[in-house]
Amino acid sequence: MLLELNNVTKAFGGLVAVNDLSVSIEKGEIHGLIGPNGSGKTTVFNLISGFYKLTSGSVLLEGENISGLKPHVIVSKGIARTFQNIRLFPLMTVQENLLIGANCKLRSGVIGSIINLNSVKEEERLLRERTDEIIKFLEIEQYKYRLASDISYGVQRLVEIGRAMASECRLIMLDEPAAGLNPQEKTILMNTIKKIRDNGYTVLVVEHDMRLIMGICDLITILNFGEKIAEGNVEEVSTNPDVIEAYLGRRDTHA
Amino acid sequence: MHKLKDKKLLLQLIIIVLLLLFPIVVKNRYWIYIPTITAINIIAALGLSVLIGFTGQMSMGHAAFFGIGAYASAIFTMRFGLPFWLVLPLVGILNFAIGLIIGRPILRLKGLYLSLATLGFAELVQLVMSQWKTVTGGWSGISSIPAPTIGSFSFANENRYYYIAIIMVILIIWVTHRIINSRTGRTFIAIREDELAAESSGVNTTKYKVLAFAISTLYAGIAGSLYAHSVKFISPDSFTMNESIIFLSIVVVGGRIGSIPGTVIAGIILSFAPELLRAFSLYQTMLYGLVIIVIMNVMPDGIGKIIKGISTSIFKEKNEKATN
Repeated sequence: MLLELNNVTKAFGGLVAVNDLSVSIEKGEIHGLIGPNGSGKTTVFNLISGFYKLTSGSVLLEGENISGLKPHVIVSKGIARTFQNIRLFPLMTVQENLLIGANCKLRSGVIGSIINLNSVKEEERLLRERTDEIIKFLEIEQYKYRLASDISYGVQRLVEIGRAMASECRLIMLDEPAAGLNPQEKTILMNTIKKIRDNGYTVLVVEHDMRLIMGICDLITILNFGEKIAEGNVEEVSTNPDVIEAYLGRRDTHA
Repeated sequence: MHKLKDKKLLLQLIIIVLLLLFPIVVKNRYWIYIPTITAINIIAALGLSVLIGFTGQMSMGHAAFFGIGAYASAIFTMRFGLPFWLVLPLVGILNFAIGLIIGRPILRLKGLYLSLATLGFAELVQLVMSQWKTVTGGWSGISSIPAPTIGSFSFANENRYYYIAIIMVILIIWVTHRIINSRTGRTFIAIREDELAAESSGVNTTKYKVLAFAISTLYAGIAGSLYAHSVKFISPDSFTMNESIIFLSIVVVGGRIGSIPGTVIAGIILSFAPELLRAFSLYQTMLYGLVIIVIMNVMPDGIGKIIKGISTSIFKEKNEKATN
């Protein structure tokens, strides 16, 4: 088990956004997290990545309790995320964006980087090699030196995923990665996510696009009102009446 | 690529040689004093630019650290009899340490609150300067600050002191360039671009923000020390909100998004302007403000952007290959 959420609850004063949620994510899985708007999906992301403090419960990464750690520490522990509305560094190039993602893996200190020690030069060289590999993997080589503000939305998405991969994380969390993409871009995204998993990453995806979820997920957890209402593989979930009700509402028998 | 680097290097060398020849050609004491003060202002402003322009934070109390550097330098040389050459780096280290200590709590704040906190700290420092009479001389300040000496050779003369200031500012510009183009500089810029995204990408934003703050206070300290031994008299009146605003203006006019050449040129303009406008006596301050307003209207992104445009066309770069 790579990631465990045990009885996680998050309350904002009187509003309970996530209620007693327990989810397990296995290594090498593509795990989907779906539910209507407001069901608590992004809250779960923020809890795992350290932006919110848990009200109760715990989050374990391969047995290690990571609840309450600062966001940048959680990244170095092995969990990286992307954002629903893409947060790249606009005035930096694609390559530089990825280089920042790899920051947590750096050994050498700040003074060293300023006076440009040989050990720093070597580390920097390896860093660039690795980010170059990721850029190649994502097939965005032609955008390498372009400013992040200067590329199409679909490529920006890939760059953000690349930045997450650059941290050498074990788990990548994608927050609505298909939002704003056209059908071709979505297909590329789906294949990319599968490729990422095949390369040893575990993926947690929040999505509204059912085609994408059904197309790539091994296991799907459905939330509604902050609670888990169902969990299972694609077939189980698509025929589950509670899931259908949550999304489409109950069929009015007196119609 | 080599051709390009050579062109830039040549230009830089020419400028340096001209600067070094300046006092030999120009004998007027007043006209030696202005570049000296300009160099000192540029050093302080560059430090502030690292914090504001490149890391996206704010400090409205920069003059306080400038003042701490000045007072510390005066006290170390006069009270403890230490030589200037030892005191200068010492004051830098002292200010760096103060920056680390003060920075940690202050930089938890953001936006308006951060600005107010830095303002508050500056007021506190003013208070200490004016009330701690036994150490700082209170409102009377400290006078007869000694000039640096090497053996029997004294730098009391403006012409000679000019060289100290010029060499220091050239050194500081070079160091700043190294910082900004290092991995650390890259991280500063990421924090400015999107602090939340930086934190989410694994950057310890607190550590880097505090570091940027400490760098700014270090620079201010060195500038303050150079100032004290140049003008030889300091008092709390020299380190007020006015001075903080002047440093801020240089940074903003130089380029909000951080630009070393922009900050340098803005520093030159805004240090020469008050002197050149002295002829207008009553209207001096008003015209100074007007200069800033006009520049900000004509080039809202600061001088830095214009310079980048000019340098890209002079040193025609075909590829946009990232250098470092």
